[in-house]
Amino acid sequence: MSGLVLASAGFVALLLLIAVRVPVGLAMLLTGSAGYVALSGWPVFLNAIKTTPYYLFANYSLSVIPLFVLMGAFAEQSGLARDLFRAASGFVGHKRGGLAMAVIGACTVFGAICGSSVATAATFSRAALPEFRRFGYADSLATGTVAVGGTLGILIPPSIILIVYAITTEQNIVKLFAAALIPGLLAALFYCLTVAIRVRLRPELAPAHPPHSPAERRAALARVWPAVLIGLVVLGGIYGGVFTPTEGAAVGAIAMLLLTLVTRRLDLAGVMRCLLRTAETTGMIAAILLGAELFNSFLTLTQMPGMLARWIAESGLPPYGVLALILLTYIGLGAVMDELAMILLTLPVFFPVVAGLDFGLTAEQTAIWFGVLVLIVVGIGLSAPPIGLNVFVVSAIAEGVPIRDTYAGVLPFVLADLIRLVLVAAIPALALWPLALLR
Amino acid sequence: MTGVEDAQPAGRLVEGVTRIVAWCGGIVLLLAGGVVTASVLLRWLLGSGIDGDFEMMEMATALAVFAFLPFCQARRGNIMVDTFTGWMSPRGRRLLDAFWDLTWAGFAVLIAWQAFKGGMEEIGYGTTSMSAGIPVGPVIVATALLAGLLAAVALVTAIRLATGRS
Repeated sequence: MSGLVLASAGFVALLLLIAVRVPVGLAMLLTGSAGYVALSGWPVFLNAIKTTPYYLFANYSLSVIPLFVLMGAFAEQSGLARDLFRAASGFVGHKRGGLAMAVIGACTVFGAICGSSVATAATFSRAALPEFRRFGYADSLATGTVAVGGTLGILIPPSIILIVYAITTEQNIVKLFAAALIPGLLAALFYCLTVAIRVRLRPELAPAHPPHSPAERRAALARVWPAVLIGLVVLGGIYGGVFTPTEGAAVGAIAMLLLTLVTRRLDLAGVMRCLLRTAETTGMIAAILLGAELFNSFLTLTQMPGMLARWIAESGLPPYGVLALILLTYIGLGAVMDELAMILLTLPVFFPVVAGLDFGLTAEQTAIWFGVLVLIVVGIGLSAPPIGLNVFVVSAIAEGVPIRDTYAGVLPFVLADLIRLVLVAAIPALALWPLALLR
Repeated sequence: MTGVEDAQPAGRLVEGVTRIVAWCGGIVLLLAGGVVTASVLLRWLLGSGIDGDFEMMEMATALAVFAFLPFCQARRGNIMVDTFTGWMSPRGRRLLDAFWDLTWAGFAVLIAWQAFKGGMEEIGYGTTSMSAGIPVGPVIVATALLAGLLAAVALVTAIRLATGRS
């Protein structure tokens, strides 16, 4: 029983520390270490941290993260987002609300190259917001669309959140990537439908403008196809079992680097900028991963997660009721804290609970389906008020647009996300069906 | 996040060092990515890749991550929640942040020191990676030194916050 008390005390201490501005990674390090020392003593703890940090990061699955970040940084700095947006708006931009749909479409393609939602939102803010303004779109529609489009960076594989989920729960990254594909494409479809409905109800949000000439369309397509091809080869190769996710990410990063150098989109200084951007993103993720590693070692020592999972499984609570409760907790937590920290913090407790429930699926199917559901709620947390990281990013770049307007623009999309969450929760096959096609 | 350059020479020096170290980490990552890419191509063309390419990738990832952490700290890029401290005065917030940076520095010293000992032990045992036979100990010692740099940087950012220079 003392394990339960200690684990609860650990969680309370952690939340208190986070509330007084302790960086999330450090807060987990502090509470995790304190609990670890309390349970096993200083010598065992000191011995554990001799090589734990090294072996945590010297991990083949984990190396996928910096490599995909690098690939995304090259794509981002080379102006791919702008080109994708131009190509997409060349086809649908002249329709009512077409620019917004073009952003969604371009984000979908960009999401297949970049695994970070913040990076996607930032890139498209710079690429698309000036165009929206030029054609007289309402600010809230413009910024809301870009903020939500940014989440496609993680909703469409590769996805840093899914990789972290796979590592924490020891699931197969390839299968998770495959399971996220249909829900990710559904997200893009739902966002476009949302735009269509909104501009139909309030035509003044999005004025119509003349179509682009066929020559302009061809020129835009010519600029984007090599990068899109790289994205397809990487994802196709990973899905097809031609190479591991790490190999795919390495090939993708190197190919993207060569492409940007050959086409002279980046010079040496640009490449250096990409390396520093990768350093910052990866360092941020690594600090949280290190903290979570220690905090989770402590939780495991308390045996609390296992006890809770057994208790819930034997309590006779309806599985869907428990799942709904967990997802609601995620939406609540995602509203006030960083999404990556949120899943690292809660998965050690929630995952065993969900794995112990009977949904009529195999253990692996349940794990992968739950991963996709977690990804959807993370996406909601990134854009929904009061704290949506993507909204902050877009607002910081969109000068003169009050954050309130961006949230107003985001809300209809959040509704679409909630509908999608219920759909995927009710029909696991939406996530699990592509698994049957994997080798 | 402070994009502003430090006014003090010592602070500028530390920032410059973290940037160069982060570049080196990125280049190590790129090189390992290149080896893996070459291995994939060789496997495709000749039927067999480079032995132990995955081990190089693992070591490179650990080195790169530890090389990135000081830069991240210098930019104060760590994720933090500031929802509940809005009522504090800017100076109070700065002092609080300085205190946590100091704590970070202390923890980094602990990690650096223990990793240094762990790495020296591995050198003593002569531990090498499974397929390519690369010695593990020196790599761990290198990560320990980088953790030491992280401690130094966190100390600098703590002093900078506490003394009010941004």
